[in-house]
Amino acid sequence: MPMQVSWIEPDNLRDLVGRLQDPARRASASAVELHTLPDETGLGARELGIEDGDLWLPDDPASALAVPSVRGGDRLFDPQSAAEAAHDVVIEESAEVFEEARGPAVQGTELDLIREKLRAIRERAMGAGLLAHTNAAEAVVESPAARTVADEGLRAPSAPSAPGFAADASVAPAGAQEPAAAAADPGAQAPPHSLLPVQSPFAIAASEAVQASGAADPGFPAPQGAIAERLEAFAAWADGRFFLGDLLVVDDHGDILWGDHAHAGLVLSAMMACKAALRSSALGAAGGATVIEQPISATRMLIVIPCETGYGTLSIAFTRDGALPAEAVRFLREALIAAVETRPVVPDEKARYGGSAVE
Amino acid sequence: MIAVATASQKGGVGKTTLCVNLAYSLAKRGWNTLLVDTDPQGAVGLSLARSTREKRGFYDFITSALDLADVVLPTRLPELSILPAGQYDACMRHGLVAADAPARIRDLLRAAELRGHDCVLMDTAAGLGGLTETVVKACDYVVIPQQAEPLAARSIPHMLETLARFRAEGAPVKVAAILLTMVMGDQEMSLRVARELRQMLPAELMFKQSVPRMASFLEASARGVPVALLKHNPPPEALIFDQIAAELEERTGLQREGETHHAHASLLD
Repeated sequence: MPMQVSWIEPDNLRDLVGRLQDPARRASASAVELHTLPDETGLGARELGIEDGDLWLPDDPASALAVPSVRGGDRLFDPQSAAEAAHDVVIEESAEVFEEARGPAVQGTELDLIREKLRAIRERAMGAGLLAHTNAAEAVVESPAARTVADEGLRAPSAPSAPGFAADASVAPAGAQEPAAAAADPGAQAPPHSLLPVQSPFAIAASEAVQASGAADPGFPAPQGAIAERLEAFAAWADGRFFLGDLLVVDDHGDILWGDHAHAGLVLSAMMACKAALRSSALGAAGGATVIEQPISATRMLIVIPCETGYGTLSIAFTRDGALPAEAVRFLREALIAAVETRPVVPDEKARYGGSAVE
Repeated sequence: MIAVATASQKGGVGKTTLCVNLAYSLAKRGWNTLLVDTDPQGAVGLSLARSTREKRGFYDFITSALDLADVVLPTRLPELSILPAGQYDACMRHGLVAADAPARIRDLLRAAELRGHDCVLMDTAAGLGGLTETVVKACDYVVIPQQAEPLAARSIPHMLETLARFRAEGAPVKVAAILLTMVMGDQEMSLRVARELRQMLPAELMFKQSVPRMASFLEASARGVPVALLKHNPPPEALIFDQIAAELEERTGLQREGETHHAHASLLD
């Protein structure tokens, strides 16, 4: 073989080409949820059962999240002072470790591109003044205990409150709601890691009452387990109560917090499109958290119920035959808020994670 | 709409010549094309008109709240618009907030889409650092012009490594392909480089067409026109960029996207 003039190692080149041609690996369901619903304790990934080997957690998530702009910034234009440069080197190194560790889990997917386009639509709507600016990041870091409820109107203050589920419990400090719920109906309080609400005779009775009168309380006892368990319990409860089948819980950025990812793409796209359209309408401008009811076939209807929680606006999306009664919408909202805002208490949390993370 | 950046580690490989001529070919093929010059040297503008040096452009857009319509220059070809580099030095004096650059570039792409552009072609400065990194990361595809000479070819692994890192960092940019440029048909070393690269790299990562080194490109630059406008009847080498445009359409899906909108018409009916 004649002398090679390009001095390129074929094996090296093959490896690089392979890395470039790899289809963007899809993030696992668990990994998707990490940055979409962090607990104030920073235990999001652990709660979701992600092993340490699957995903590297920075000691200080805030610094890790701040890295991209810092990296992009100092290297682009501005000359830095020596002190700033030294600081940036440290950040950059940690960023590379972080990116290297999380890389496979966050590579773009078609769904990500759809989300990005939907975000672009939202930003354009914001830019055009059709949509009020929201700050999801603030909502995420805001303590539920310190939060004032902006949408009291959603919660029908005069609505009757049955034992086991108080409407106010959804917005009260998490620690305060547990004793109240337990005192009201100890039997309905599910132990951590259980799905008992679906089987509960109380739940069945309440379901019948809702269907009969439309005024009874659903009695959702939010378990105190990890967020995934709480959402699973919520989904099971909602199915048992309202026969919703597969439902999705989605945050305001279109990231799926709960639901079957295999069927999520279409529902998610339709849902986000509906939301974008709604936001650009007069209803959206009025600021109300309006329930979307969009016919998707002769009989089926896509229903999206936005819920203001301590972690920002989450939406429950599902399909069913016909619209849902207003009371049922309210119950679903309150139950999701209760499920999301319940403080996670895993029995041996301190033993497993050294105790500091949950404080 | 698709956004395509050009990128190369080495300067002087023909990025600007490619961009100017490719943008012209895409526009002639019916795509509403916006050519954006992100190179502070403003080579696109210098290639086409003396007056662009004084005009506002890309750097003015990313440093102030300008409307894209205020800085885009129309051309005599309705499907081709140009965003020159603008006043880079003035913008540097006023201070660029580097952290804002990615968002402003996304704004630019959104604004271009809203204006109805089908394709945004972004010429970049040599290397993959600084603002070029931001530009490439924001694009859907990157075309890599690769000069057919040994020293330039040795930079390919570094280039691919950097692009792989961009993707690992979450950037959606895909490599459209590597384009051999400045191929000298009468120089054995240049031809050997071309052969070696085609042997080592998969066909889907290489444009079938390459760009030879020809005097007419120099002449076109001197006159400030795409090579297709050198003469009333375009010279044969102008077809090179039509071929590259056609390949780019296939590689990026621009063609399929277009086919959904345009019905086939019979020649006579």
